[in-house]
Amino acid sequence: MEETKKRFWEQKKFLKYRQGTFYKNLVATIFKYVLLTGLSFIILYPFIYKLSSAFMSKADLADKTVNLIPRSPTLANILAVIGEGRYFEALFNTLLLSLVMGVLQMIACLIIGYGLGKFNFKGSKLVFALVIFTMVIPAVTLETPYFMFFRDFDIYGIFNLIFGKGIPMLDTYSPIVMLSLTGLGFKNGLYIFLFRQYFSGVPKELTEAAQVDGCGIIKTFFRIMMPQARAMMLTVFLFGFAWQWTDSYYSTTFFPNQNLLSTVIGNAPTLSVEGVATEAQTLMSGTLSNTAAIMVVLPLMLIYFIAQKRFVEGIESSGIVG
Amino acid sequence: MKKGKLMTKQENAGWIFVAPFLLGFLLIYLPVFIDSIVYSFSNIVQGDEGFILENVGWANYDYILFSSSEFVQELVNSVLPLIPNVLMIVIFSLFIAVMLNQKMRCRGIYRVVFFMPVILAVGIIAEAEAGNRIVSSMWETGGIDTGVAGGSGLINSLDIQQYLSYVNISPEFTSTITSAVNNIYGIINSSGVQILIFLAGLQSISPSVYEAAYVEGASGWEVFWKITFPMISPIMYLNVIYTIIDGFTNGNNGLITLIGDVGIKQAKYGIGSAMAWVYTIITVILLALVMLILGRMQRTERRH
Repeated sequence: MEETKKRFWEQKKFLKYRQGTFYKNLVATIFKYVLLTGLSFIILYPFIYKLSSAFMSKADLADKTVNLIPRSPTLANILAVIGEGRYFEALFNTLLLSLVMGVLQMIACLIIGYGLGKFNFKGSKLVFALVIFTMVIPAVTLETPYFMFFRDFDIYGIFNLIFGKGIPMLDTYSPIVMLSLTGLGFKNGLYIFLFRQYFSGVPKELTEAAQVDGCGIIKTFFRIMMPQARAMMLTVFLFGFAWQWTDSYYSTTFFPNQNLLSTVIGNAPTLSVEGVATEAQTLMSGTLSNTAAIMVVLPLMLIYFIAQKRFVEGIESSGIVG
Repeated sequence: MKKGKLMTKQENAGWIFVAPFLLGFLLIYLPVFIDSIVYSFSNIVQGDEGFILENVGWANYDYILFSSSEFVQELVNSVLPLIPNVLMIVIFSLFIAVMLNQKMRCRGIYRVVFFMPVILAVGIIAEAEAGNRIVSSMWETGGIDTGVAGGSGLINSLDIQQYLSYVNISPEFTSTITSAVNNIYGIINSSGVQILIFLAGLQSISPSVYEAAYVEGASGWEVFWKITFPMISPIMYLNVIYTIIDGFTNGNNGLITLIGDVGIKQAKYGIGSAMAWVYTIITVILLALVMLILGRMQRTERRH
């Protein structure tokens, strides 16, 4: 039982005052809050701006006194993106795609990272070096060859020998599915690295205890190791999901004709807005871009806010750096 | 200890787990990788049935390095500034991580905000903002590059310049400050992952070490340099490497957009590949240098 109510002059704050460090601490604290708030504002400002843009009408753009709050707000921009921009269809497609890709990449990197982290086989260092290698080579170096490769998918010419031609894989989701399943997707090297670090930090005693209890390798993995890594799994999933959501690189290379949210943003500047004459459309292009951008980003922000608590805690307790 | 058969057998089970990666690497990545080298030495023309590769030897490399100036120019313009940026990003994210690690109200909210650019930035948002720049140039007068359309820049850097010159600070110093201020947006938005990694590292230092230090009468400054800094130096090393990789390979890089333009939009596949390869080699060399230099410093630290 502790005595939690101390008398005023015994409390820490008062003691600090007497010791002369009270003001020093106060200044430091104020400075800290000001700095953090200021920087947060710099981060958030573009989003705030885009959000307010979404409601701006042509009159507001011309009005120099209007900065963030529109005088004559309008829903026309948003409606344009939803209607002509086919927002909801794209939203659904992107949601599905991001979910699938996030899960696939998470599973693949989990398995690969586990293999690298827990098992000390000959050559594991080499394989890990290869993983890092895939991260270092910039994606743009491989963009054209990937395009050509999937245009006529073939395994070292075998298909051509047998069937006379390869499999055309462009304009389908197959290329990125294959890349995700093999841990070659975007930033998958990082995910594998994270999982590897995590699993090499798990004490050997745990594995040994599992074995004593009669678990084979597969059982150990499913019953014991995987549940442990839940926080990291959520983190990697979130990353993969978010990246797929905002991707325009793979999307435009491999399936430019699918209607995804990145297409919505691409099309936004050319939409026609109600109430604005066709000649003046170009004026609204910036606003439309902003509207589309915020509409694309908002669902992701929501998901991020919901998941972030688990996710930030997860990184901290994961011992990447142990 | 000589490993018994059972142990080796178990360790080898690791191969099963890494099999997907190996499959992908051998069947997909390697052919693509080799192809891209081959492309850089060839000229790709659209034939009747598809694309035709004709070997042109070093002609592509010759062209981009010696005949045409766009590659080298872009290299100097976009890539050289990346190097001081790496330093600033690492320092900045360490600073922020230390602050976010302290107990304070709203700490959770700040962490969420600082990590937001990682989740939300990149890709399409950057593209939308690039489109905005045309519109914004009509209204902005050289303010901080906040990447938004219309409206005035948040803080006008010209004002800062004038103010600083009134206070008699030398012009070189002023321009360094103004360019740092202009860059802040870029630095903040590229720091998310680094902040997270530093945070994780800081949390792994047990508070008892700090308590002991305070009892012995160490000041905050001393604590930072003698305890925090040495303990997170391996993480700093990791962050420097990651920042270099990220900075050099992400899509907002001027050089990467150039390669994309030339290689894909202008369909000069061979030249684009050559550019990409020169860039890749430079990146690898830089990374190797950093790893050698910092790695050596790392190892000497450990001996203490």
